[in-house]
Amino acid sequence: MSVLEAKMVTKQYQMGEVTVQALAEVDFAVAKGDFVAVMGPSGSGKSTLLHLLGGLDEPTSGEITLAGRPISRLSDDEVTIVRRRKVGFIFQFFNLVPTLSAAENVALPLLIDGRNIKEEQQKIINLLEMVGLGERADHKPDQLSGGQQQRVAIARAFVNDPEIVLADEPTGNLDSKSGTAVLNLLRQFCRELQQTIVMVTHDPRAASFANKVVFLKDGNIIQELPIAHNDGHEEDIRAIMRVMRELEL
Amino acid sequence: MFQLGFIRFNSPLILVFRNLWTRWVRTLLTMTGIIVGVGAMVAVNTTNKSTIQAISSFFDEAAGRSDLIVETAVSGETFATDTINRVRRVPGILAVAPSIVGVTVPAAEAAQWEQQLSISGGAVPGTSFWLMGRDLEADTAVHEYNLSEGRLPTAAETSYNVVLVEDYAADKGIEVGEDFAILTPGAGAVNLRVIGLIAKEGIGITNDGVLGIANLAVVQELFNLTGEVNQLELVVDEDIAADTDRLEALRTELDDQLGTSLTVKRPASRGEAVANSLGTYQLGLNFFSVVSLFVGSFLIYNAFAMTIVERTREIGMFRAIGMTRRQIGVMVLLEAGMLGLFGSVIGVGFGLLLAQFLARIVSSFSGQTVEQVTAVPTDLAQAIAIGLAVTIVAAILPAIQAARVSPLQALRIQANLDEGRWQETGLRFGPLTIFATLLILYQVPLRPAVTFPVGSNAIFAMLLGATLCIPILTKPIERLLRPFILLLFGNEGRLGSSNINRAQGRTTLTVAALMVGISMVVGIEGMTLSFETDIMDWVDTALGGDLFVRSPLQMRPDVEARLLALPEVTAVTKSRYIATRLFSPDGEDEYAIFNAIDPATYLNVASIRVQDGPAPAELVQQLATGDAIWVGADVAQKYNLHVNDEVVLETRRGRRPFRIAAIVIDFAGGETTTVTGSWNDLRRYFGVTDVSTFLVRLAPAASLPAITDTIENDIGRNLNLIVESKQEFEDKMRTLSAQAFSLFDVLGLIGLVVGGLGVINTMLMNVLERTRELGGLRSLGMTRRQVRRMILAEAATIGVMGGLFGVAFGAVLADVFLVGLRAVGGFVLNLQTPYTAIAVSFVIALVLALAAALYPAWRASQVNIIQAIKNE
Ligand SMILES: Nc1ncnc2c1ncn2[C@@H]1O[C@H](COP(=O)(O)OP(=O)(O)OP(=O)(O)O)[C@@H](O)[C@H]1O
Ligand SMILES: [Mg+2]
Repeated sequence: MSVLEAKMVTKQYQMGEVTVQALAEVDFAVAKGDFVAVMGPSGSGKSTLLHLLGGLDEPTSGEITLAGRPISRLSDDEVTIVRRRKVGFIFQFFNLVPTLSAAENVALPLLIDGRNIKEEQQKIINLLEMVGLGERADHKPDQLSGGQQQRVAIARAFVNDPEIVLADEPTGNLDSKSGTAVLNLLRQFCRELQQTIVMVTHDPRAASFANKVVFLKDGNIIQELPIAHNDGHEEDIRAIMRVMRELEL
Repeated sequence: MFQLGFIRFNSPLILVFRNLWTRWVRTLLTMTGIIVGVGAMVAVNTTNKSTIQAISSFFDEAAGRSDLIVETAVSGETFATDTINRVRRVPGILAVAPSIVGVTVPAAEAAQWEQQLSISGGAVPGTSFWLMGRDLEADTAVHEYNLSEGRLPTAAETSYNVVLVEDYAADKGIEVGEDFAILTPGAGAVNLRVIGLIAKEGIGITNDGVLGIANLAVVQELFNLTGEVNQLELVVDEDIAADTDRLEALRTELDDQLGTSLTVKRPASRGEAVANSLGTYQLGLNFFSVVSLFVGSFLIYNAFAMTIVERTREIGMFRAIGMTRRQIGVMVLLEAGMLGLFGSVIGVGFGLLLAQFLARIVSSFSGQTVEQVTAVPTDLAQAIAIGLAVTIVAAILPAIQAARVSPLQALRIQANLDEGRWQETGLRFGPLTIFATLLILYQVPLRPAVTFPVGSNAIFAMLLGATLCIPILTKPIERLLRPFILLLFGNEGRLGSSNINRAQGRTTLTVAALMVGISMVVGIEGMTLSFETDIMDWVDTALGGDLFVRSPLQMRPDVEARLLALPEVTAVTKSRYIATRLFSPDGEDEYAIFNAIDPATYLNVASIRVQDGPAPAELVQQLATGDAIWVGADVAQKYNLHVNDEVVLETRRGRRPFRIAAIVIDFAGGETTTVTGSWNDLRRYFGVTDVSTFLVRLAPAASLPAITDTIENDIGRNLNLIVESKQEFEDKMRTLSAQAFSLFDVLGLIGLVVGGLGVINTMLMNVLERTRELGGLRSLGMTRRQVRRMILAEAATIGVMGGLFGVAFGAVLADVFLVGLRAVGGFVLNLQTPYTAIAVSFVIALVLALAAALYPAWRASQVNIIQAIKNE
């Protein structure tokens, strides 16, 4: 059963006279509890796909269904409500509100939804502890390291029990140690809480944390690779790199 | 246990609060716009009201317990004592207190006496000494005398005994038991014996305390007015006094009974005439205070638009995680509301402080001391409401802009906000708006009632139009300025000056804020200069004469012959001012001054600038024939009068019709309605033959000091003549107009302050937004000093542009003000270009912009390279 489904999705950008085809009739589905990595060369349409899946942008044609709702046909306000309740985002640049503490940043989606924050306090504490920042709840973003900021962002992405979490290069701005911590967290959310995650990345090592890797080129999905997780990461990384070489990515 | 209190919010309000708190520099700047705007409004409003309040409470206090006052319809004249008995017989009247005033000067000061003018055209209180004769027995029912020393005169007193006001006596060093000499019309200097002192309160505040009280009969004797009084103060039965309708009925009844030569008034209504004479002036002040608020709203808009730019990424993230457009918009408006509320409350406080200062200026020239500044709570509440509303309205566009931010902005490294199409909008609407408003201001005939509201709104529309024109012109002007900036700031200057094209909206509004400030200064100076120039011109040509001969007492007409007998004197003409009431064909009636001139000699000394009517020679001929007057263009405008219309004047012989023979350019009365008629009519209808002023023309070679000495000390020995040269008179007028316009200068200054704040805001914003870029430049080897110079160059470009636009718009504004002065006050003036003000304003704009950029420039130079390039 897929949580998220894209059918024949095309995205074109009009740049004056020139039409840029970012996605060409892409079919894509994510099953509940899946952790999918999207890979591909720069300009292949990874971010575009992610934006469309999260309802941040509209496809030129095709249909996207998220948690049973045809988001490509909803009004802006309706899509916004879907994002608010069903989607979590993790950005490359963390995008925390600098004026709010870590805990407050995590609580933000609930606040926006008009929920009573008092009743949700325990959940927020739990989340912060899960990402290893139980002691930093009161810190402002500028008092946290990049890795810590991204972990706050992860807690924020999961606070509304989303149907799906979308992450664009979540480790792109982090050193490898912090990156690993973030990836482990994502994996943990996926395994323990049956959360569904789609993550865009350049990095074969990051992709090896997923259950499946989807390869994009020139706006087309050209290959899918399941990850075995048998002999540790090194084996999986080699498998991913092999596919990349075959596809001349 | 883990601390659970870490989440301190439960509503989106917290986001707003945190934002205001964390970005406190911005918050403060935005708030200053509101504070200054609301403050100016409150200050002007409070000052105006306090002035009126002071005027009416002055008349209240001086009135004591009296409920009604009987005076001659032509105020200041006398009437027979037998009226007292007629009034006493009226049922409901409990007490009648008569009084008479002899206006004079202490003999010791006669030589230094000078006529003091006030903006309302009347004399400044306290310039002359008032000897008031009272019936002290009847007075017990009306006034309480707070005697601090000695005793009061008795009702039977026949010796020349007087009571002075304590402060005045102390000022002059006079003690009880000593003599005090005053001038009298009959007997020259007369010694009065000071028998007591009263406090400066109640009746003691009359004429600012420059007052002596003697027995009625004594004053009547000294001033040749036996059997005459000026005024009766009446105390009415309590029940009637407490009931406004019954009091008014009694007043009308008495008024009818006493005939047209006398009027019956409530004490408070005497203050109204004085208050009315300040009307145009107060209207002008109100207008400027609204302009200040308007400029303030520019600043507010600018600041909000900037925070939106700055927070684009953050807003994009909010949208991505599920905030609707509406929620975003509401959040921005909430922020505006909060700032507006705080700013307005502080603004009210600032306004009240400023009002103290303005009240002092008003006191200095209006002839009314405004000691206490009192604010009406509902007015303050209204000011807060207006401040709040203006802030929210100013934030509407930024709120819409914020709501339009795409969630994708959150994912960009460098967020870029669509700045809107300033240039396109400007091209489309800017010139059109200006053209339309000019059309309204100059071509559409407006009814007087709507002139002020329509006119001031048109000026606002024009301000908007001018603002819209700015983005069209910034690029070409920047290009023109570049060589100069390069000269001043070197290569950094090139970088800085071209930066102003980056954020068009921001540049536009900053230039606009400066423009409004500068244009207010230039406009005000233009108006002041035109006013002064035309008055001086009028003094020169129309008023004519080289000398004015006056006296603290009125003079006998035969002085004319004695003046003419002097070899240096080539011509003399006499004039006399007398108070009257004017009834216009439209049914308006108001206090006025009848200025009687001598048609036979007037043109020998003075000239007339006729705007509508016969040539001067013919005009004086018509006045000589009688029952004709001329009026100034201001009066004609005010009462909608045309040549050959008829107005009615109150005279001693009752109400008489007078034909308008001509409309002339005349500033004689200041803001008080003045009509000019003939000497003959003065004698016939007012029964007056003495003279207020002789205008004297001298032979070209005459020596001014010598002739002054001859007139004052030979002819004038016993007549107490005072000579004033035209130069002295001109200086006096100049000082008066400078004082009157100084209030406007304060408001212009406020406009400049707001403009400066706008520059700080913009430059700071530019610096914050470009932290990364600045870090990059530093890493490439730009020194801190170079960074500072670059920022300053940018500010200088903005300053020069603000100056250019401000001067251009100010010139238009000055002309519009003159049109407004003509429409509202009836002054017909020719526009003078205030070159000094323009040059100074220009320098001010530049210096202000540079000064305002000092802090941002310093901030820019402190940018930490590592952090800046890491800064996301
Ligand atoms: N707003 C836009 N306007 C025009 N073209 C765009 C826009 N956004 C993306 N594109 C184009 O669409 C194509 C796909 O872009 P996309 O950002 O999805 O690539 P990507 O795979 O995420 O690349 P990268 O790995 O560099 O992030 C590119 O050719 C890009 O130039
Ligand atoms: Mg991308």
